[in-house]
Amino acid sequence: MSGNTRTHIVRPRRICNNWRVISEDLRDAFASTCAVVPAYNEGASITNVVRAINEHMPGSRVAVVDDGSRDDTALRAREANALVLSLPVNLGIGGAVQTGFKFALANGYDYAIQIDGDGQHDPSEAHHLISELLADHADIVIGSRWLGRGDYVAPRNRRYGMKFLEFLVSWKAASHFTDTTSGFRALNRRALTLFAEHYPSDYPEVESIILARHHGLRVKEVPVSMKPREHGTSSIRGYKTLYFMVRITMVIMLGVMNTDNS
Amino acid sequence: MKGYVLAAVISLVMVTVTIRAIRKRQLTETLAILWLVVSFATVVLSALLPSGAFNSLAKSIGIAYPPDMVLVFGMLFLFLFSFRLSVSMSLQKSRQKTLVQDLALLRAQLESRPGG
Repeated sequence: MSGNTRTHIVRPRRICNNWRVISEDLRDAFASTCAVVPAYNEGASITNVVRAINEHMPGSRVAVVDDGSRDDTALRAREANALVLSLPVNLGIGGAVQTGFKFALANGYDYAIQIDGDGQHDPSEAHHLISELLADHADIVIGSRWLGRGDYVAPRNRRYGMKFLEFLVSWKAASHFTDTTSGFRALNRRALTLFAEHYPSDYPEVESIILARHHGLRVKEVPVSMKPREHGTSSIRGYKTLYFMVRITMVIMLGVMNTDNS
Repeated sequence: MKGYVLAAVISLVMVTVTIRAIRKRQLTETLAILWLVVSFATVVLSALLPSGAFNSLAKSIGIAYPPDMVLVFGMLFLFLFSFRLSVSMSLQKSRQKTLVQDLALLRAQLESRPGG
Protein backbone atom coordinates (compact mmCIF):
# COMPACT_ATOMS: atom_id res chain seq x y z
CA MET A 1 0.00 0.00 0.00
CA SER A 2 2.91 2.37 -0.44
CA GLY A 3 1.45 5.30 -2.33
CA ASN A 4 4.55 6.28 -4.24
CA THR A 5 4.91 3.62 -6.92
CA ARG A 6 1.34 3.73 -8.20
CA THR A 7 0.76 3.77 -11.95
CA HIS A 8 -2.46 3.94 -13.93
CA ILE A 9 -2.13 0.43 -15.31
CA VAL A 10 -2.08 -1.38 -12.01
CA ARG A 11 -4.72 0.88 -10.48
CA PRO A 12 -7.87 -1.25 -10.90
CA ARG A 13 -6.16 -4.25 -9.34
CA ARG A 14 -4.95 -2.19 -6.45
CA ILE A 15 -8.51 -1.19 -5.67
CA CYS A 16 -9.48 -4.85 -5.58
CA ASN A 17 -6.69 -5.46 -3.12
CA ASN A 18 -7.87 -2.45 -1.20
CA TRP A 19 -11.36 -3.87 -0.90
CA ARG A 20 -10.06 -7.02 0.66
CA VAL A 21 -7.97 -5.03 3.12
CA ILE A 22 -10.87 -2.80 4.16
CA SER A 23 -12.75 -4.54 6.90
CA GLU A 24 -16.51 -4.71 7.31
CA ASP A 25 -16.24 -2.30 10.25
CA LEU A 26 -14.32 0.25 8.25
CA ARG A 27 -16.85 0.09 5.45
CA ASP A 28 -19.61 0.81 7.95
CA ALA A 29 -17.53 3.70 9.30
CA PHE A 30 -17.16 5.14 5.80
CA ALA A 31 -20.94 5.04 5.44
CA SER A 32 -21.25 7.40 8.40
CA THR A 33 -18.34 9.62 7.40
CA CYS A 34 -18.57 13.04 5.84
CA ALA A 35 -15.52 14.10 3.83
CA VAL A 36 -15.19 17.87 4.21
CA VAL A 37 -13.32 19.38 1.26
CA PRO A 38 -12.55 23.09 1.61
CA ALA A 39 -11.92 24.58 -1.83
CA TYR A 40 -11.10 28.09 -2.96
CA ASN A 41 -10.54 28.40 -6.72
CA GLU A 42 -9.61 24.73 -7.05
CA GLY A 43 -11.49 24.08 -10.31
CA ALA A 44 -8.37 22.48 -11.79
CA SER A 45 -8.03 19.80 -9.12
CA ILE A 46 -11.42 19.40 -7.43
CA THR A 47 -12.76 16.76 -9.83
CA ASN A 48 -9.86 14.40 -9.14
CA VAL A 49 -10.07 14.97 -5.40
CA VAL A 50 -13.80 14.14 -5.27
CA ARG A 51 -13.33 11.08 -7.50
CA ALA A 52 -10.46 9.80 -5.37
CA ILE A 53 -12.53 10.17 -2.20
CA ASN A 54 -15.46 8.29 -3.73
CA GLU A 55 -13.06 5.61 -4.88
CA HIS A 56 -11.18 5.11 -1.63
CA MET A 57 -13.92 5.87 0.86
CA PRO A 58 -16.89 4.04 -0.62
CA GLY A 59 -20.19 5.02 0.98
CA SER A 60 -18.95 8.29 2.42
CA ARG A 61 -20.57 11.65 1.75
CA VAL A 62 -18.37 14.21 0.04
CA ALA A 63 -19.19 17.80 1.03
CA VAL A 64 -17.18 20.36 -0.92
CA VAL A 65 -17.19 23.75 0.79
CA ASP A 66 -16.82 26.29 -1.97
CA ASP A 67 -15.32 29.28 -0.18
CA GLY A 68 -16.59 31.98 -2.53
CA SER A 69 -14.51 30.76 -5.49
CA ARG A 70 -14.48 32.87 -8.63
CA ASP A 71 -13.82 29.88 -10.90
CA ASP A 72 -15.86 26.75 -11.71
CA THR A 73 -15.05 24.88 -8.47
CA ALA A 74 -18.71 24.46 -7.45
CA LEU A 75 -19.80 23.34 -10.91
CA ARG A 76 -17.05 20.75 -11.23
CA ALA A 77 -17.66 19.44 -7.73
CA ARG A 78 -21.35 18.96 -8.53
CA GLU A 79 -20.47 17.20 -11.77
CA ALA A 80 -18.35 14.79 -9.75
CA ASN A 81 -21.41 14.09 -7.57
CA ALA A 82 -20.28 15.94 -4.48
CA LEU A 83 -22.62 17.91 -2.28
CA VAL A 84 -21.59 21.57 -2.51
CA LEU A 85 -21.87 24.01 0.37
CA SER A 86 -21.51 27.38 -1.33
CA LEU A 87 -20.37 30.25 0.85
CA PRO A 88 -21.66 33.48 -0.73
CA VAL A 89 -18.54 35.35 0.40
CA ASN A 90 -15.02 34.17 1.14
CA LEU A 91 -14.61 33.25 4.82
CA GLY A 92 -11.09 31.81 4.72
CA ILE A 93 -10.09 28.23 5.45
CA GLY A 94 -11.28 28.15 9.07
CA GLY A 95 -14.78 29.38 8.35
CA ALA A 96 -15.04 27.06 5.34
CA VAL A 97 -13.96 23.93 7.18
CA GLN A 98 -16.24 24.78 10.10
CA THR A 99 -19.19 24.95 7.69
CA GLY A 100 -18.42 21.35 6.73
CA PHE A 101 -18.22 20.34 10.40
CA LYS A 102 -21.57 21.99 11.10
CA PHE A 103 -23.05 20.13 8.14
CA ALA A 104 -21.65 16.79 9.33
CA LEU A 105 -22.92 17.34 12.86
CA ALA A 106 -26.38 18.50 11.79
CA ASN A 107 -26.80 15.54 9.45
CA GLY A 108 -25.86 12.93 12.00
CA TYR A 109 -22.49 11.77 10.69
CA ASP A 110 -20.29 9.99 13.23
CA TYR A 111 -17.04 11.05 11.61
CA ALA A 112 -15.74 13.85 9.45
CA ILE A 113 -12.49 13.90 7.57
CA GLN A 114 -10.95 17.06 6.20
CA ILE A 115 -9.32 16.59 2.80
CA ASP A 116 -8.03 19.72 1.09
CA GLY A 117 -9.39 20.54 -2.36
CA ASP A 118 -5.94 21.16 -3.84
CA GLY A 119 -5.06 17.46 -4.08
CA GLN A 120 -2.35 17.60 -1.43
CA HIS A 121 -3.97 14.89 0.69
CA ASP A 122 -4.27 11.35 -0.63
CA PRO A 123 -7.74 9.88 0.03
CA SER A 124 -6.30 6.37 -0.32
CA GLU A 125 -4.75 6.98 3.10
CA ALA A 126 -7.97 8.16 4.71
CA HIS A 127 -8.64 4.75 6.19
CA HIS A 128 -5.52 5.08 8.38
CA LEU A 129 -7.18 8.05 10.04
CA ILE A 130 -10.72 6.69 10.21
CA SER A 131 -9.68 3.34 11.66
CA GLU A 132 -8.03 5.14 14.59
CA LEU A 133 -11.32 6.86 15.34
CA LEU A 134 -13.18 3.61 14.90
CA ALA A 135 -10.93 1.92 17.45
CA ASP A 136 -11.60 4.94 19.72
CA HIS A 137 -7.90 5.64 20.10
CA ALA A 138 -8.48 9.36 19.68
CA ASP A 139 -11.08 12.06 19.09
CA ILE A 140 -8.99 13.78 16.44
CA VAL A 141 -6.53 12.01 14.16
CA ILE A 142 -4.03 14.08 12.21
CA GLY A 143 -2.17 12.80 9.18
CA SER A 144 1.48 13.75 9.72
CA ARG A 145 4.02 14.15 6.93
CA TRP A 146 6.91 13.68 9.31
CA LEU A 147 6.37 10.21 10.69
CA GLY A 148 8.21 8.28 8.00
CA ARG A 149 5.75 7.71 5.21
CA GLY A 150 6.20 9.54 1.90
CA ASP A 151 8.96 11.92 0.88
CA TYR A 152 7.37 15.34 1.26
CA VAL A 153 9.94 18.10 1.61
CA ALA A 154 8.81 21.55 2.66
CA PRO A 155 10.52 24.67 1.33
CA ARG A 156 13.41 25.57 3.66
CA ASN A 157 12.00 28.80 5.06
CA ARG A 158 8.84 27.00 6.08
CA ARG A 159 10.73 24.20 7.77
CA TYR A 160 12.04 26.48 10.54
CA GLY A 161 8.57 27.80 11.15
CA MET A 162 7.15 24.30 11.35
CA LYS A 163 9.88 23.30 13.82
CA PHE A 164 9.00 26.25 16.01
CA LEU A 165 5.29 25.40 15.94
CA GLU A 166 6.08 21.78 16.70
CA PHE A 167 7.92 22.87 19.83
CA LEU A 168 5.29 25.40 20.92
CA VAL A 169 2.29 23.14 20.41
CA SER A 170 3.93 20.05 21.86
CA TRP A 171 4.79 22.03 24.97
CA LYS A 172 1.36 23.64 25.37
CA ALA A 173 -0.64 20.54 24.42
CA ALA A 174 1.55 18.41 26.69
CA SER A 175 2.15 15.72 24.10
CA HIS A 176 4.41 15.53 21.10
CA PHE A 177 3.18 16.68 17.71
CA THR A 178 5.27 16.48 14.55
CA ASP A 179 2.98 18.10 11.98
CA THR A 180 0.93 20.90 13.46
CA THR A 181 0.01 22.53 10.14
CA SER A 182 -1.42 19.40 8.54
CA GLY A 183 -5.00 19.90 7.35
CA PHE A 184 -5.47 16.17 6.73
CA ARG A 185 -7.43 15.22 9.83
CA ALA A 186 -10.37 13.16 10.96
CA LEU A 187 -12.75 13.91 13.84
CA ASN A 188 -15.35 11.99 15.76
CA ARG A 189 -18.64 13.42 17.04
CA ARG A 190 -17.11 14.71 20.22
CA ALA A 191 -14.58 16.79 18.30
CA LEU A 192 -17.22 17.83 15.75
CA THR A 193 -19.42 19.15 18.53
CA LEU A 194 -16.60 21.34 19.83
CA PHE A 195 -15.42 22.59 16.44
CA ALA A 196 -18.93 23.32 15.15
CA GLU A 197 -19.18 25.77 18.06
CA HIS A 198 -15.62 27.10 18.29
CA TYR A 199 -13.15 27.08 15.45
CA PRO A 200 -10.33 29.53 14.74
CA SER A 201 -10.84 31.49 11.54
CA ASP A 202 -7.69 32.27 9.58
CA TYR A 203 -5.02 29.64 10.25
CA PRO A 204 -7.01 27.01 12.12
CA GLU A 205 -4.76 23.94 12.02
CA VAL A 206 -2.36 24.81 14.80
CA GLU A 207 -4.81 26.66 17.01
CA SER A 208 -7.40 23.91 16.80
CA ILE A 209 -4.97 21.37 18.29
CA ILE A 210 -4.49 23.56 21.35
CA LEU A 211 -8.23 24.22 21.53
CA ALA A 212 -9.00 20.50 21.41
CA ARG A 213 -6.42 19.65 24.07
CA HIS A 214 -7.76 22.45 26.25
CA HIS A 215 -11.17 20.78 26.12
CA GLY A 216 -9.69 17.42 27.03
CA LEU A 217 -9.95 15.80 23.60
CA ARG A 218 -7.48 13.10 22.59
CA VAL A 219 -5.43 14.14 19.57
CA LYS A 220 -3.26 11.61 17.77
CA GLU A 221 -1.01 11.66 14.73
CA VAL A 222 -0.63 8.91 12.14
CA PRO A 223 1.92 8.84 9.33
CA VAL A 224 0.76 9.83 5.83
CA SER A 225 2.45 10.90 2.65
CA MET A 226 1.66 14.23 1.07
CA LYS A 227 2.18 15.56 -2.40
CA PRO A 228 3.48 19.02 -3.04
CA ARG A 229 0.48 20.97 -4.31
CA GLU A 230 -0.14 20.74 -8.05
CA HIS A 231 -2.12 23.93 -8.60
CA GLY A 232 -2.48 27.21 -6.74
CA THR A 233 -0.39 28.55 -3.90
CA SER A 234 -0.30 28.18 -0.15
CA SER A 235 -2.29 30.67 1.85
CA ILE A 236 0.78 31.32 3.98
CA ARG A 237 3.78 32.84 2.23
CA GLY A 238 6.18 35.77 2.33
CA TYR A 239 5.65 38.27 5.14
CA LYS A 240 2.53 36.32 6.10
CA THR A 241 4.76 33.59 7.52
CA LEU A 242 6.03 36.02 10.15
CA TYR A 243 2.52 37.28 10.88
CA PHE A 244 1.39 33.68 11.22
CA MET A 245 4.12 32.91 13.76
CA VAL A 246 3.43 36.04 15.82
CA ARG A 247 -0.27 35.32 15.78
CA ILE A 248 0.05 31.69 16.84
CA THR A 249 2.44 32.63 19.61
CA MET A 250 0.03 35.28 20.89
CA VAL A 251 -2.95 32.95 20.76
CA ILE A 252 -1.10 30.24 22.63
CA MET A 253 0.60 32.45 25.22
CA LEU A 254 -2.41 34.60 26.04
CA GLY A 255 -4.77 31.67 26.35
CA VAL A 256 -7.16 32.94 23.67
CA MET A 257 -8.32 29.34 23.53
CA ASN A 258 -10.12 29.59 26.85
CA THR A 259 -13.54 29.68 25.25
CA ASP A 260 -15.19 29.18 28.62
CA ASN A 261 -14.37 32.72 29.78
CA SER A 262 -15.71 34.45 26.71
CA MET B 1 -8.41 86.82 17.00
CA LYS B 2 -8.55 84.99 13.68
CA GLY B 3 -7.68 81.69 15.36
CA TYR B 4 -10.83 81.85 17.48
CA VAL B 5 -12.98 82.41 14.43
CA LEU B 6 -11.43 79.44 12.67
CA ALA B 7 -12.01 77.18 15.71
CA ALA B 8 -15.61 78.34 15.97
CA VAL B 9 -16.26 77.73 12.26
CA ILE B 10 -14.75 74.23 12.39
CA SER B 11 -16.81 73.22 15.42
CA LEU B 12 -20.02 74.59 13.90
CA VAL B 13 -19.33 72.63 10.69
CA MET B 14 -18.85 69.53 12.84
CA VAL B 15 -22.22 70.06 14.54
CA THR B 16 -23.91 70.54 11.16
CA VAL B 17 -22.33 67.40 9.69
CA THR B 18 -23.37 65.36 12.75
CA ILE B 19 -26.97 66.57 12.69
CA ARG B 20 -27.25 65.94 8.97
CA ALA B 21 -25.96 62.38 9.38
CA ILE B 22 -28.47 61.75 12.18
CA ARG B 23 -31.37 63.11 10.10
CA LYS B 24 -30.35 60.87 7.21
CA ARG B 25 -30.20 57.93 9.66
CA GLN B 26 -26.57 57.19 8.84
CA LEU B 27 -25.71 56.76 12.52
CA THR B 28 -27.21 54.46 15.12
CA GLU B 29 -28.65 56.25 18.18
CA THR B 30 -25.74 55.46 20.51
CA LEU B 31 -23.13 56.77 18.09
CA ALA B 32 -25.33 59.74 17.19
CA ILE B 33 -25.41 60.81 20.85
CA LEU B 34 -21.65 60.34 21.14
CA TRP B 35 -20.90 62.53 18.13
CA LEU B 36 -23.41 65.18 19.18
CA VAL B 37 -21.71 65.43 22.57
CA VAL B 38 -18.26 65.59 20.94
CA SER B 39 -19.24 68.27 18.43
CA PHE B 40 -20.97 70.42 21.05
CA ALA B 41 -17.93 70.03 23.29
CA THR B 42 -15.75 71.51 20.54
CA VAL B 43 -18.19 74.43 20.22
CA VAL B 44 -17.96 75.06 23.95
CA LEU B 45 -14.17 74.81 23.88
CA SER B 46 -13.87 77.30 21.01
CA ALA B 47 -16.24 79.65 22.83
CA LEU B 48 -13.99 79.49 25.87
CA LEU B 49 -10.97 80.60 23.84
CA PRO B 50 -11.45 84.41 23.69
CA SER B 51 -12.26 84.84 27.39
CA GLY B 52 -9.09 83.11 28.54
CA ALA B 53 -11.20 80.55 30.43
CA PHE B 54 -9.67 77.86 28.23
CA ASN B 55 -6.17 78.75 29.40
CA SER B 56 -7.11 78.85 33.06
CA LEU B 57 -8.92 75.50 32.70
CA ALA B 58 -5.71 74.00 31.29
CA LYS B 59 -3.64 75.54 34.09
CA SER B 60 -6.05 74.26 36.75
CA ILE B 61 -5.53 70.63 35.70
CA GLY B 62 -1.76 71.08 35.55
CA ILE B 63 -1.17 71.52 31.84
CA ALA B 64 1.42 74.31 31.36
CA TYR B 65 0.92 74.78 27.62
CA PRO B 66 -2.87 75.10 27.03
CA PRO B 67 -3.02 73.78 23.42
CA ASP B 68 -1.65 70.49 24.78
CA MET B 69 -4.94 70.00 26.58
CA VAL B 70 -6.70 69.62 23.23
CA LEU B 71 -4.04 67.19 22.00
CA VAL B 72 -4.10 65.05 25.13
CA PHE B 73 -7.86 64.72 25.36
CA GLY B 74 -8.26 64.49 21.59
CA MET B 75 -5.83 61.60 21.36
CA LEU B 76 -7.32 59.88 24.36
CA PHE B 77 -10.74 60.11 22.78
CA LEU B 78 -9.51 58.86 19.39
CA PHE B 79 -7.66 55.95 20.98
CA LEU B 80 -10.64 54.81 23.04
CA PHE B 81 -13.03 55.26 20.17
CA SER B 82 -10.96 53.39 17.59
CA PHE B 83 -10.44 50.59 20.10
CA ARG B 84 -14.17 50.34 20.55
CA LEU B 85 -14.60 50.23 16.80
CA SER B 86 -12.08 47.36 16.55
CA VAL B 87 -13.98 45.39 19.16
CA SER B 88 -17.29 45.96 17.43
CA MET B 89 -15.77 45.11 14.03
CA SER B 90 -14.51 41.78 15.38
CA LEU B 91 -17.95 41.02 16.73
CA GLN B 92 -19.55 41.88 13.40
CA LYS B 93 -17.06 39.65 11.63
CA SER B 94 -17.87 36.63 13.77
CA ARG B 95 -21.61 37.26 13.39
CA GLN B 96 -21.17 37.56 9.64
CA LYS B 97 -19.30 34.24 9.59
CA THR B 98 -22.17 32.49 11.35
CA LEU B 99 -24.71 34.01 8.96
CA VAL B 100 -22.71 33.05 5.86
CA GLN B 101 -22.31 29.48 7.12
CA ASP B 102 -25.99 29.14 7.98
CA LEU B 103 -26.92 30.49 4.58
CA ALA B 104 -24.73 27.90 2.83
CA LEU B 105 -26.19 25.08 4.95
CA LEU B 106 -29.78 26.18 4.38
CA ARG B 107 -29.16 26.56 0.66
CA ALA B 108 -27.77 23.01 0.47
CA GLN B 109 -30.77 21.73 2.42
CA LEU B 110 -33.13 23.47 0.03
CA GLU B 111 -31.38 22.07 -3.04
CA SER B 112 -31.44 18.52 -1.67
CA ARG B 113 -35.21 18.57 -1.21
CA PRO B 114 -37.09 16.51 -3.77
CA GLY B 115 -38.26 18.80 -6.56
CA GLY B 116 -36.32 21.71 -5.05
